[in-house]
Amino acid sequence: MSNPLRDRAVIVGVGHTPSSRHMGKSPMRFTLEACTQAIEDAGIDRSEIDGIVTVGTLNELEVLQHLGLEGVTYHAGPLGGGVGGGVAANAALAVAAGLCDVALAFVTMEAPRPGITYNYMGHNGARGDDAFTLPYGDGVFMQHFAPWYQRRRQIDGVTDEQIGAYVVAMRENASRNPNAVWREPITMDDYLGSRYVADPLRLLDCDMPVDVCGAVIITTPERAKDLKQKPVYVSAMTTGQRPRPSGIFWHDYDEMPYKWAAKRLWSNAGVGPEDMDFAMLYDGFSPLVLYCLQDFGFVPKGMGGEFLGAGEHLATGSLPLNPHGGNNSEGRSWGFGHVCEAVLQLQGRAGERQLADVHTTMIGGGGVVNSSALVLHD
Amino acid sequence: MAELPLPVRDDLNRAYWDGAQAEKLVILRCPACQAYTHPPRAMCTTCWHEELVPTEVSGRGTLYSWSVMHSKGNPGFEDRLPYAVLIVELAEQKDLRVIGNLVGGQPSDLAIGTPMQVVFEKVNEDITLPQWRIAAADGGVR
Ligand SMILES: [Zn+2]
Repeated sequence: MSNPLRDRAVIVGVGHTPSSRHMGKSPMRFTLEACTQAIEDAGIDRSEIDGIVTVGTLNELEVLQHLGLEGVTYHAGPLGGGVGGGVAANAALAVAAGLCDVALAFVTMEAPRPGITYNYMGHNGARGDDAFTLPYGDGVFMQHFAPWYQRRRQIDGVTDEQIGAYVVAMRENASRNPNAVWREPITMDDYLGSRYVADPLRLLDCDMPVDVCGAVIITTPERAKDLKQKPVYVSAMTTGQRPRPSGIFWHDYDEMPYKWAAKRLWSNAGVGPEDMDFAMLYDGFSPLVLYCLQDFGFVPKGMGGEFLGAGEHLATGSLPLNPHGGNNSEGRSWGFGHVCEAVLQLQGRAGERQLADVHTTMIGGGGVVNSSALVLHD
Repeated sequence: MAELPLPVRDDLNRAYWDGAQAEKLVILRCPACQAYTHPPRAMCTTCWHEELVPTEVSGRGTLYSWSVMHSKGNPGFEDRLPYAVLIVELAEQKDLRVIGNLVGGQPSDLAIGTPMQVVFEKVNEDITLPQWRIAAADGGVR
């Protein structure tokens, strides 16, 4: 029996600001730009919006006020607690389940301002689990992923050149993305010469923190019939979790909770990884794609490095990845850029980076200890 | 230079830090099912027993993974870059792991499975940090 939520929500509008080291305007202002752009792109009246889903520091009730909305019947955060894919997934879930008819889903990221130690997790002091990490200088988020990547190198034999092939390709993709923060192509030598931030992670493995907002409008297939854009169907939305609260004290560095988001993804969608024309994999740190590839079933466990080394992630490969350049080169949107790009590609609106003849994709990943995934088709 | 954040004792971790002060590695253990738990938890996650017992362990383990920090961002470590952060799996139980820094030796000496031995670094009168050395093949410390 087909899953009752399958193809019961469609994405019909996209808004996306440029990714900028410093936008020169307030997060509320550029958030409203992306949200109004998405609403206008869909061609729907704002009075019909009755759902709002987001994650981050911006107060979404203030966004509702600015947009002049009366109120909503669905107000929530991301499915799976984490990143942009989870925001879109939860909005799609709400529409498919009949909790709202037209949802606005968005993610706003703010580049760090002077005086803030970026990604330091220890501002509450060495309490709780942090009592066992901060005294050892282990309080910056990338340090809670770097030792995972270390195991992929030590156990699977993943090389600098394999990850470098991914990063170089993302820059190449981003050079065709007007919203990307890094648009200058780089060479393998540039990657190999990139300094370590938390060895084995290099600077060029980390997404650039930026000011950015991405937004999409999600509604029912029925409502989409007389809207402006070709609807993109959400055929499954999932999340998965395992019982550990932190990346560093995770019990198994060889498998991410992505594996648990994958458990129902394919059966609920009625397709498999082999049916994907391309994939949108989370790459806040570039080696995260190794886990996306293996845990969502695109490659056997441990084979992600060989996949990248063989160029299978390129537009010419067996599974093109992140044609917008990923978070790695478009800029840190917590994966919401992946959502916008998936929709544009399936609608044939991706401009000079448009992949040929693509009809089905998936968005998957999360921030080490959380996960979400969606399958989309035209 | 920003100050090193030192552990704040609470009901769950007091036995660990008191033990370290006495140069012992002390981990909470379930008297019912014998499972160890770290970081400390309020009850046994295996059998839900609520009175876990602080238990001294051998101080031996193997390296599960590691990274070498090259960037600023951790208060108290600005002058110590680069430094290794180790994830050590204790000999007593699979998946029982602690974090520490490498004492002696170089990061280039490290590999998954490297035998490790706890050592104790006294920071002040209240806090001693368990740290890790590469263990010699004969069980001693090199
Ligand atoms: Zn027990």
